[in-house]
Amino acid sequence: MSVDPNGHKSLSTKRIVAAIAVVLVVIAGIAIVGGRSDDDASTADGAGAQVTPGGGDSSGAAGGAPGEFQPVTAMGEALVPLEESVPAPGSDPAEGVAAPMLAGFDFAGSAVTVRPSGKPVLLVFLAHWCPHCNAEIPRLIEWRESGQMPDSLEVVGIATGSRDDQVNWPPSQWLVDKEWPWAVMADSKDQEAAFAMGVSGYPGLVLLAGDGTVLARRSGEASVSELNDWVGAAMLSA
Amino acid sequence: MDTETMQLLSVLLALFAAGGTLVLLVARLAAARSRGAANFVVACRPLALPLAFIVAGFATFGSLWFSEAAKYNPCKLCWYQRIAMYSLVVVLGVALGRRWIAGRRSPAGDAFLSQREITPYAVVLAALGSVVSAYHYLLEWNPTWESNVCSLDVPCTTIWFREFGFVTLPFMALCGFVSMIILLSTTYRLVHER
Repeated sequence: MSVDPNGHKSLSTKRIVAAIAVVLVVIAGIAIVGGRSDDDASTADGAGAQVTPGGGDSSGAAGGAPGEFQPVTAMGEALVPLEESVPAPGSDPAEGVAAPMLAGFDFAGSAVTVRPSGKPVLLVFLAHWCPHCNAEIPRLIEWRESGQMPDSLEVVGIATGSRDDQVNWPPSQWLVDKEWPWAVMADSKDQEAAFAMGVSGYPGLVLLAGDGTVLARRSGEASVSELNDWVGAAMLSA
Repeated sequence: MDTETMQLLSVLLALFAAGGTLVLLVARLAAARSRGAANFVVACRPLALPLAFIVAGFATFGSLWFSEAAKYNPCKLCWYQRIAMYSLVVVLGVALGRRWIAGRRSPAGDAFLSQREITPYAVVLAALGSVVSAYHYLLEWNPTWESNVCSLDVPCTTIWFREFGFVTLPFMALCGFVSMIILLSTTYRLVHER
């Protein structure tokens, strides 16, 4: 440390460089040790582990086996992709078109199908990492519990766009945590169910009439009253 | 290097860069009244350009590592920040090279000429980048600002990791941009050069 003519001590550049170097070495040490600790911890508590509650492999390539992804068969012509988040009534070219039937599985490997059953069906496409899907699920549940949801309406959640490097993985546990009360279909890695229905954003809602034709589609968050109005108007028009 | 280690290393370096340069900023503000603070700023001056270059360089390396090795696909706002950060590596690198060449040719010359020349350009680039980073960071906490729909690819509301409850990739980029602004602007001219 040098001393100026007034007797004040001045810092040397070399000392600052040395101090920075020491801090960088400490940071590198913390990162190496801490990074390994985090890795161990995540393995211990299961976060990031690619194992489903059922114990199967997360790829779930084979139907009937537990997995976060399941094969999906779409029978029929895929719907055109939804261009607007909330198209005006009559402006979605898919309205009135027969939707493809979907045959797939839930996370446990049990068969789930979406086909005309005489009752209207609401397909809800959800991605576990999507903040808007996380916000929408409680609203859907609130809508149901408020008694405003039509009794005849069946709801099927389709877990799509799943990624093991994203938050809330695995989606099977995510939907349990979110207390999803309806049936679930796990989409394939290639998102065949979502593309078959022309989903272009999450959460994606596709409302099907009892005969399997499309009543309405929309994407994005919706409040309880918006859900009620949207479904009500679409079912009235049928 | 595994992803966890790289994340923690990047986070700690970003916090160190931000903290260290905030000390420099405080010293610069106090330099007119405190001899010790002025001496600290004087001592930091030769380091400002190399440190700014190192910050930009590591941020560039980190962004490429996270996208290419960790497969964290960059979103639209990430790309805007990359434009600023990658440009800063080139701009600051050229200035550093010019300083080195000038020092060899004329050891008694103005060692800070290239730094003063490049500072306005670099600070503007870093300021633009920091605006985007700040917006991106706030967007992560308020995803409905952008839209109420998640796109099928990588939306800008995607949070790849959040260390210590608040440090995310845009936050680290913001730390880098702000560090460079402080490093270059606080040592642009010293008090006695006014």
